[in-house]
Amino acid sequence: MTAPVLQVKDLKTQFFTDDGVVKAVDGVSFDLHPGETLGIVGESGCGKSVTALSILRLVQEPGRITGGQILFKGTDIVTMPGDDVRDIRGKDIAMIFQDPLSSLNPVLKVGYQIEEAMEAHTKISGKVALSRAVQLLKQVRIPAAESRVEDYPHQFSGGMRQRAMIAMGLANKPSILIADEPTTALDVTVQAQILELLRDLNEETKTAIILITHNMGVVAGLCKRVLVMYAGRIVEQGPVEQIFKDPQHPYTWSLLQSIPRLDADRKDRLLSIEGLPPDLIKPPRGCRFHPRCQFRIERCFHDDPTLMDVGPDQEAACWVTMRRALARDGEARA
Amino acid sequence: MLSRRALIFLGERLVLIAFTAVAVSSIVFFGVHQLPGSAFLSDRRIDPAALAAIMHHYHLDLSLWDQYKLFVAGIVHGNLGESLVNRGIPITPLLLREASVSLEVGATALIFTIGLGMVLGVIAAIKQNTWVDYLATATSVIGYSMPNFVIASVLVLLFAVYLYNWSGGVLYYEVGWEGTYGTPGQILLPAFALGFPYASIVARLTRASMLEVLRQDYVRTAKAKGLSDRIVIIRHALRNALIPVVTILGPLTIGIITGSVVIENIFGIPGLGKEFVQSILSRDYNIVIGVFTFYALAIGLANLLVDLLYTVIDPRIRY
Amino acid sequence: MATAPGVATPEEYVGDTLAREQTSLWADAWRRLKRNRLALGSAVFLVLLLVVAIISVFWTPYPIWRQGVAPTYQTPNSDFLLGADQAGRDMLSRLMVGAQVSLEVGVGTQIIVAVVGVTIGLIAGYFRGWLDGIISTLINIFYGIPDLLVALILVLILGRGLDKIIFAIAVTRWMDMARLVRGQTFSLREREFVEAARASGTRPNKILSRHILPNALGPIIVQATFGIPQAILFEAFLSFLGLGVQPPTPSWGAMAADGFHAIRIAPHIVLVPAIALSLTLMAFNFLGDGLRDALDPRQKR
Repeated sequence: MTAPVLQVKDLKTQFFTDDGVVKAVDGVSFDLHPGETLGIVGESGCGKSVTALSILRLVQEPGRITGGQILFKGTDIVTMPGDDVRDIRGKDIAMIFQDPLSSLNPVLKVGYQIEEAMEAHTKISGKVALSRAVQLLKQVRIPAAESRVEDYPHQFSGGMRQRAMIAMGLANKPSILIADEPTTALDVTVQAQILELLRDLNEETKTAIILITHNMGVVAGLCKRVLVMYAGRIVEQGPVEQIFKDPQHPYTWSLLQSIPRLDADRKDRLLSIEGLPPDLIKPPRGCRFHPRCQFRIERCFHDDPTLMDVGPDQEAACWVTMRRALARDGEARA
Repeated sequence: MLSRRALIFLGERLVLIAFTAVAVSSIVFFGVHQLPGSAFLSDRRIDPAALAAIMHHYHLDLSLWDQYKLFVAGIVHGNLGESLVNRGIPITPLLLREASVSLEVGATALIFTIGLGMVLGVIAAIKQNTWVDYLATATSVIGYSMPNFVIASVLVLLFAVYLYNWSGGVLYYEVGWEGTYGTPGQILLPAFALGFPYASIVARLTRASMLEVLRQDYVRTAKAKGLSDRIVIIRHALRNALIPVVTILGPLTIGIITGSVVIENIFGIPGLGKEFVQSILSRDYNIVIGVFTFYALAIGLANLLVDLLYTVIDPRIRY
Repeated sequence: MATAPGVATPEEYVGDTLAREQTSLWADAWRRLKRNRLALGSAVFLVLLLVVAIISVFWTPYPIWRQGVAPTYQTPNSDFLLGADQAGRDMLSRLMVGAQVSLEVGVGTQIIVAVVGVTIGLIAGYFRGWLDGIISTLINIFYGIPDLLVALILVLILGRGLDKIIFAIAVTRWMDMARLVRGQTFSLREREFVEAARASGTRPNKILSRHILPNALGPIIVQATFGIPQAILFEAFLSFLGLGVQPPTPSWGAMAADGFHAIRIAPHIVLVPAIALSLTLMAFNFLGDGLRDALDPRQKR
């Protein structure tokens, strides 16, 4: 197994607000290997986006990284001087965001913004930058790239804008591309195209991809491994196929259950997870998921579980685990 | 850049401005003729025959409608008539000259306003919640809370009075106005007093706009690309933060015009503002109409320039 | 939704997952306003100003009309706390009465502006269509005309006097309120509770008064709070140019104008009203800022 290109160790990021300290990321650890596709999935507010922003130290006041390490090729990003972090951004680790319309500067041409990504890190002449920008647009399958490069973001369609952002992200051939909900703002058909594009790019360029999303289906479309986050923690992680077939954490299980299926019996009701998202200032005692969990036992109210092995290469933070819960209850009712 | 569509747009707007100017002066024309008193009553008792001759000279013996027709005919050729108080002085060249003086002071004030205001605003935004920010914000609130004649008074006190006293008569600032256009030194104080309240408003607006822009996703993207803070601010944030500032440029110009009325009177500057007050007090209604016409034209042109400025700054806007 | 065995009771939910209570918008705003010391200080100052103005109706240290009560150009001393002006009148007394004028102008204009502007804004924003077209065009026309010039002409026509000045200022400044309320009405009329009211057959005037107006009240109050210093400033300009309230009624602007010629020998004649004006305007502006921040829904948790 080759050395991981990124190692996140016990990352803690907190927001110091008037109402209290929000523990958005509360002890997250994972490894990313070269060329790997990793998904981070969870509901809104679970900390997945903040984790991604923390990797590049893009968290803004009143938020701060308060603990842990982020090792990129051995060096800790958390303690790096600001200039060095800026060196990494856009060159070794690139990030693209959810809404390409608001994420691209409306008053600058698209081509310019791509060239800018290159000029920030290498000495490159205008002409070379331009031709490379055109090349990148072609790589992300934007038709008529030569003329498109002179257009403004509002002249692109939603899907094309996202492709342009991907082109911008790949401009300096980074080792890692972090995609924060890249398909959430797009139509379903366009979503599929973007995922396919990312898949192909991952195979062509061997760029590792971290995909942040709340949609399990999107994860299945792209990633080999997945982290499931809840209330600022990882509650389950493992290979995608295994997790989908055999989820061990009740939250993961509920997420998968709540995906509507075309082949389901019409009589079955649509399921959703009861309860409200957890308060990150004063998280629940014991297991953070227990107030919304149908399978909880006495212990869940007091003891906070850490990640434990539940299968080959699969970990979950649960005292019960689904296989025991299903066995215990016979037919689990949702 | 100057496509056919652009030229048509420009032409339409210019016609609209001219039309508005005529409309405004027509309204003032009719309004003014309802006013009690006339420029002539202030004279000592004039011999009735002489009075009749004067009235005839100014067409005041014609019906209002006939007078109006003559008026419009004149204005279309740029002729605003003759001063009622100072017989024989044509109004148009007089006002043109005075307008250029006002323009000199007003433009200086505007440049100062925008320049200082924006710099202060950007700095306050970047250093948000530090003492720099609080100082800048407090200064700007004071700035637009003080009437410009108060600022002018304070400046005059400081420079014309105290500076002289403290330096034992060595340093002094001559408050006054030489010739038509004054000396560069003499423009400074009036321009500062005129512009400072608006500089403060621009500063506040720039700060708020900048803070808003710095929160935007595309600024985050720029940072994620590894661009230095300086480039992010100047290249990405600033242009977008300018948009609301350009928006108030129209009302700002109007504000400087109204402010100039007071400032010109204080400093004795022979501009349109001084002329306006004087003509009202002396009941020289022809000049009053003329001044209003000039102001209407100035505002129309200013608004047009602002709209054109929009297209330069924001490529999403095209006419 | 089917339930499972052992699901939490409502109390457990509240204890574990809900940590903060909801508060009403006004209580929240009041709480935030109290924290803004600048705004609080300004409010205190303004209350004091009001008290002084009220007192001055009944009593001033010296009669304000009488000239020669003090030596002319008297600098501040123990007899005349703020000195005397070029006609030997006591500055302090005139300042107090001037406060009356300023406050009357400020509040008076805003009352008219509020009534006119809110009404027009509600109509334009709610009924839209051609009615809004006319109103918007009217607003734009008024915006294109320099307010000071129009006010000057109006004062000329109507004559001088406090009520006429209040009218003249209100005429040139109603558009800000109208435009604000129009915008608010636009967005509010699309909200669900308005749709519900419409669907249940509520008449427009009830919808406007019961649903839309109360929700727009916050920005209206902020706008009025900012409008007061604008009006006071306006009146000061008029007075300074000699077209404000009829002398010998003291107005801070006129007092400053009177003293300008003597600025070298007796700067206090200009400075006293100038500082009073500036402090009052600043206080209103700070208060307005505080109100706006306190009522800003984006800052609500």
